[in-house]
Amino acid sequence: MASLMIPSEVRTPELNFDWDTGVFSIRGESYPEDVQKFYAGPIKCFSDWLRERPGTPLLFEFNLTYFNSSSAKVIMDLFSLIEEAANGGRPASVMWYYAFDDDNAKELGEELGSELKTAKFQLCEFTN
Amino acid sequence: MVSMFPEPQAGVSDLMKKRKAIYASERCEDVINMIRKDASLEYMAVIDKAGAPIGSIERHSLLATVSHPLHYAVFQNKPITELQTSSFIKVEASASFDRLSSYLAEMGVSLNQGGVIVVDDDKYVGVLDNADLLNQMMHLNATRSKELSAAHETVMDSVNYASRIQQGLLPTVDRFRSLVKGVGLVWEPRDVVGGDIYWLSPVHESGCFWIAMIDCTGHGVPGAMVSMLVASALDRIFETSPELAPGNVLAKLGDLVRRALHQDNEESYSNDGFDAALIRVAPQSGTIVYAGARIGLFVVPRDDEPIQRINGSKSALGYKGVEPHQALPNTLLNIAEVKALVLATDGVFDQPGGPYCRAFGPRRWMESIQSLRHCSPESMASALRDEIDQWRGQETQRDDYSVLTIGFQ
Repeated sequence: MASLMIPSEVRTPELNFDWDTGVFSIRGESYPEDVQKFYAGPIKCFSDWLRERPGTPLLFEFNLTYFNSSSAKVIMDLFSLIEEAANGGRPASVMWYYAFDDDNAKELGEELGSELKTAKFQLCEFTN
Repeated sequence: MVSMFPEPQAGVSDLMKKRKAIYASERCEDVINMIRKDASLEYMAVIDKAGAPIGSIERHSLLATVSHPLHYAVFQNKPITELQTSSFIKVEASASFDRLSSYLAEMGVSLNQGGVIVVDDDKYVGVLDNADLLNQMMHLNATRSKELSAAHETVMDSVNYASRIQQGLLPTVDRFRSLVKGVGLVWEPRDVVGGDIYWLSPVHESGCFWIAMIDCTGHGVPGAMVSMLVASALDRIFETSPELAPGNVLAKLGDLVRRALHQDNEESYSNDGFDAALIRVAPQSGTIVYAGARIGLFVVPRDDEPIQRINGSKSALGYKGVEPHQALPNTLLNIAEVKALVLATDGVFDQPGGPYCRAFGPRRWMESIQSLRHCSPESMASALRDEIDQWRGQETQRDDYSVLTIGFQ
């Protein structure tokens, strides 16, 4: 299955979903005018993948410099799907990247990450 | 709904000239004479016996070629096919003008001379001179710019009107000043109207009153629509249950808004909500109670204690769900110990800017409040606004943002 790759635009992040390796990433800024329009398709594909490939380990990477509240809701929905998969026995981890001097992104990551109990959550600080 | 762009009236067949074509067998001399005599013959098709175009003649290049007597002598008695250009653009008579012009633009065709051959079922029917095409394009372009700016004006008039309504619903500085020792208000929607509002209740007979800061999902018109709903639901809760603690008020507010948007069942298509902070000030008992959902409270203590940050609960309110909202935790403060309170929506903390395009963030925010703690609420708010704007620099404003500073001493 070909991976899903959507390049970033001004208001939307880059999505890179590699179905074969189980590595998924969202990076950039996220404030589309219509969040549903942008995310509904990819999230549907992601939940289909979870159902169809139950054994594959999953790694989800977030590197978001700005996201609005409706995008936060989408991230929370993704976290729920990941947590559910982890509860079903799949190895699942989430990496949350933030710049060393971005206390806002760090805080948002901590907040969102506290929702994950079974799935592994890791905050990753980068320096530039 | 009126379409912004009516289909252009002119099709290819309206603009076309039913100019006679030149048969492939005609002699150059005859064609040259015909073209010299009739200045309107800018562009002509050369057709075969069946009437299908096989080439074209463009007035200026033909006359230039044969202007030399020697060249004229060479071609004079030859068939016109010797002088024709065999590459040409043909278009079906039924095509729309729009289709033709986007095709020409795609091909990078220059319209400075020549034309286009019009066919019907591959039989020649006429030509379009490029000069006519150019005029038509200019005409359409002018019409469309006019229509576009009229449409833009209509939309902006409507949004500006909506903004006056939304600003009219925001409590005035004077109403706040009658209740507290100074207030600073910053309301900066990203798009004229927005999902952020601040709200002030009437004063209850017991002397207490409520102040709220609300940030609805989305911004612009959708955000403003939800903000109106939240404000009126808050009015209603204050009227019916003024004794409720802020944490219970917010839970009830979440339920009311969720139900009003029909998001209280799993099938609901929409999924919108809001962040909120609510404080109840009771001067008679000297207390302030705060509860918040994703909007924290910053407390400037009266003495030189550090700025205090009280985080609200993590979940937003009103989103799709079946279970009623749980009451949120309340935090109690003594008015006597509070110099000022600061509320701000996430548009402040999330705004990217600075040298590395980072979010403004809560740490910088608290440092700013600390450095302004001895100012009046009015000047604190305007200095905070300046700092945010300065941080943003050339970056665009990503979200609505609001700041409310309330003085107590």
